[in-house]
Amino acid sequence: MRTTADPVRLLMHRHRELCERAVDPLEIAACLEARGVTDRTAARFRHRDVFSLAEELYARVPRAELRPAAPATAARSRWSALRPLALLPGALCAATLLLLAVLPAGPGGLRPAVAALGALLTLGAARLALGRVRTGAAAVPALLLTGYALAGDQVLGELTRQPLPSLPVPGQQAAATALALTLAAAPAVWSVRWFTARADARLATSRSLREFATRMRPQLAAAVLLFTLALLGAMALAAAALPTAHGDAWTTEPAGAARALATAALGLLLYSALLLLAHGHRTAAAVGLGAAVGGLVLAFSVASASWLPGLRPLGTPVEALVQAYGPAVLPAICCTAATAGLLAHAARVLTGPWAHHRAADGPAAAGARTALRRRAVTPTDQPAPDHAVQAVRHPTRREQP
Amino acid sequence: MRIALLTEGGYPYARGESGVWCDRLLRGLAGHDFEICALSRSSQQAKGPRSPLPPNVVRVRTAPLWGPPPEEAAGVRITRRLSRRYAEAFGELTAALCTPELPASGAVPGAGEEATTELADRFATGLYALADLAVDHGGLSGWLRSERAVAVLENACRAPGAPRAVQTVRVPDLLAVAERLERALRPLSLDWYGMDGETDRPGADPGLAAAELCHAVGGGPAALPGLLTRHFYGTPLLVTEYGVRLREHYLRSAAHAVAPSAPSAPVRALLASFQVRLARETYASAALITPGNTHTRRWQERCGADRERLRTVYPGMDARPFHSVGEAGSSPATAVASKAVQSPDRKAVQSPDRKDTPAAAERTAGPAEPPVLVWVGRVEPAKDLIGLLHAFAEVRKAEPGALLRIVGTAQRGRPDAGYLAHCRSLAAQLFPDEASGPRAVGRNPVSFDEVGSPEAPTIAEAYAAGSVVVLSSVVEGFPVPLVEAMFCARPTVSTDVGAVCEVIGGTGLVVPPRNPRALADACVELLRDPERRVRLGAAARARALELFTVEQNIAAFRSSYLELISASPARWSERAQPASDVPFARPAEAHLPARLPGAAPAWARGPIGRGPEPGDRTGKADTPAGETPAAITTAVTASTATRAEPTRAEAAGPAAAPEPAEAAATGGEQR
Repeated sequence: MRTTADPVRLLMHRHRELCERAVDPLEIAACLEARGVTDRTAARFRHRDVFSLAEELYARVPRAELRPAAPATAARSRWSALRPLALLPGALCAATLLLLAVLPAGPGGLRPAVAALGALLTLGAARLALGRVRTGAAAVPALLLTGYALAGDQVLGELTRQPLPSLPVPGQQAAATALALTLAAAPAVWSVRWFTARADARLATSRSLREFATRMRPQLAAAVLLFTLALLGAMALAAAALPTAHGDAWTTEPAGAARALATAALGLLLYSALLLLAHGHRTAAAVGLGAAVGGLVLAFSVASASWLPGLRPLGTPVEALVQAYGPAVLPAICCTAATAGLLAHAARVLTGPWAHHRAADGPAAAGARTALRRRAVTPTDQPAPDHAVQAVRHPTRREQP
Repeated sequence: MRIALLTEGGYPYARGESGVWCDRLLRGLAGHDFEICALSRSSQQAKGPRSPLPPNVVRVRTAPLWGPPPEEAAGVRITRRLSRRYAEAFGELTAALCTPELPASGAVPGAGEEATTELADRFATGLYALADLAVDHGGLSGWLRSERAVAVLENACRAPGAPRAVQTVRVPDLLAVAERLERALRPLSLDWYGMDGETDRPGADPGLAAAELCHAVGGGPAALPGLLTRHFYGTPLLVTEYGVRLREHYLRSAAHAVAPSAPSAPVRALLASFQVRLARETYASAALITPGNTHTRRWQERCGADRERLRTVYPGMDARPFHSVGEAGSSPATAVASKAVQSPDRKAVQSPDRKDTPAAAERTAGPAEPPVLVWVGRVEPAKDLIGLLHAFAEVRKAEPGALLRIVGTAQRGRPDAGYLAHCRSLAAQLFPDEASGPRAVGRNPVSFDEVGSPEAPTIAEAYAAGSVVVLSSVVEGFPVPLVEAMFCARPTVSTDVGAVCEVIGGTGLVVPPRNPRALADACVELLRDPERRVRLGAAARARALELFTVEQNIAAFRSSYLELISASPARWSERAQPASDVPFARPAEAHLPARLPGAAPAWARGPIGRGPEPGDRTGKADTPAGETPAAITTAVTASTATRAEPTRAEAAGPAAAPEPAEAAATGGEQR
């Protein structure tokens, strides 16, 4: 042993990185022992034991400056960031409608078959576009609401003894709604991904919870606003593509306005549910969508009950509403209320940090939260296996049979 | 008695630690009923195979410490009032975590002690308050993953006086800490403690309330259920640690610190703080702590374990496989003869006059059978085989005929193939192949074998082939090969690392680590002195049989159990009684296990405690098939079994040590 005035200095130099990173003298003691320093070694450094030597090292070596936070998301290509799959439902729906338009209106079952196939393909594409979002129970009310938007008005009109607005082709209105909703799928997915990415960046750089919430609120508002604009655009596009569907009834008559409102509210409702689903709040999304379905079911049952003898007055409010604004007013009301509820909930939970936390391990937990995020899993993300650790060898680990 | 064995990441999972030890303990203490409470560390472990359970295990409870929180925990509705009470308790806990701990060897010992005690009190207050709330209301796991919990944590981190590393905490760090704390505190929300209010119902699962003693294998999370049972019922807690859980945490944390996706410094600081506080609380509350060696004991003392409650219990090893080799080696004449001849047939026909002069036998047989050094263990860098090879080169200068056999044992995990190849090539460079004559095929004086190969069919034969066993590690915990060599009555030369000195205790030579020349000198000294080899070998075997056998280990725990039970108050009827200092003021038979027939006889009630219990919310409970309740007999055997069966160490001790003075005489041979 070369004797110097300060023998610990050599040790400091040798274990500098360990000492800089250590959070505790005991950590230095543990690692020194793993590197072969014993109490007898410590005695050479004029210390009683490894613990007091570690305390001196901890006290003398300055802690390393904190590393700047690593970029949360790896650089990825623009193309995959855009997720072109989201365009598929709109394209499929448009193709189906086009095919239906050119097909001859024969008596055979060709047109219904094409329509059914197109609908199925579009649904499948919509599921694909959602990616790894786990929908859970929320899928059922979402499908019910979409189905109602396509066919519910006729039924309600029949139930409330209201003549439907005369349209050149009976299915045109449903076609326009379907086209608008499927076209809006792409901006919905894009905006949720944008929001998630922004939230990740905010989370990585925020110093306190209050700061994080303050910075997240405008992001959420912007995401919703962006999608609303895109949805209105999609509706306008659909209306332009299928002009006979609405004609002048689109904006002028109250029934047309209610119908447009219903479509927009449904789109926003589905979007806010998707926003919650993508951050793991499946129950809230299912409850919100289910509430809208419940409202419609209530209206339907009241309208049906009014056909029973003596219960006619029961259906009066629904009838009055439908008479004034057309049958689309009911889904418009239900969806708007549910959307308001879901957005209020989202404003509370999505500005908190837990919704954007990705679990340290366990793909089951992380799956829901990182759903819309492409994440490169490096081997270092996994917890280190036990044999990577130089632990004290357990006495009974190796045994003879 | 009914003993709850608390494990974490170990028994009864086959892919876990300390499985062999636990299994031997349970089978060795067949008179006691055991209830196993196992916390699993990963899904691979939980889904993996389990070791077969001995019949005296009445129940196994398992719970995961990994993955997302249990589903029903999220379903519990947390009222505003409950949330506030949780926040108060968690605030205490986190405040204790964020207060820097004064060094124990500070300039003002009195002030440091006081502050540490106060800190420990805050931690314990918070922990038990959380436990009370979790048992009464549930929903702790869900609450810990709420925004409010993170806010409480943030407040504590930003409080004045918090360490600088903690002050710089960011939001992702808070989330990571909250998540890890939720996992670590999961034992608090388990339904293991029999607090459901239905325990009076016949057939109900009394939970850990029925246990008379909690035996935690390892500190840390495994001891948490024991701490809670002690808090609720006053059940004594026994903590056994062979590797310090806290130290393992630090090593893992430090290993992760280098990775690019490592948890940041605040996360590591907070989690380390939690582990230290938990270890302190465990050591302070345990009625008895049994470290496996002095190294573990030092860590425990460092973390506040009371010296009076520490009792070192060396891990037991099975001596039977080494019996024949050890017996052959410990009688002086045959040992030398067998080493010189290495054949049982020829040993039998040795003439008596040659036996009387072992040194002469060695000299005459020397050229024919060269002296052999043996190294046994896992081939890994910590064993410093490079240093051993260099030392062997020195040995060859003094004893040109010496051979070195390196025998690798089976490894857990991936063997270090690169290191082994490196050692082989170094051996080939240092030592050219040698042949006995111009017409013979040469071979290298250093041979590399595996246990199970024809050269070394069993591990005992690997030791038997050697004149001297060498241990050259630079880092070592409890040196298993050293104890095995002692069982085989082989003289040893080992480096002064880990628990080597306390294991060898003067019955072998000890040299400093990383000193090949000293190692070589010691080896040569032993190789040239066969009488001393025999003497040391016999003393080593006597020492090992007295200290490191399974029987010794089990006997130690049997007496510890009885001692703890004898001092603990009777709980069921006279709960208010304070702990008595008079041993056996309440004998162990006073309380029979809860399965004693109460209203109806046992045969009329049908099987109890089989299959999953209806009230079992979180954990899984199962009882091994074929286990019949036999309360009275169990209790009676518990008391008689302790008196019967003298330990093997006592019986074998005097017989195996032919010259007791030798051990003392060789005591000064440490360098």
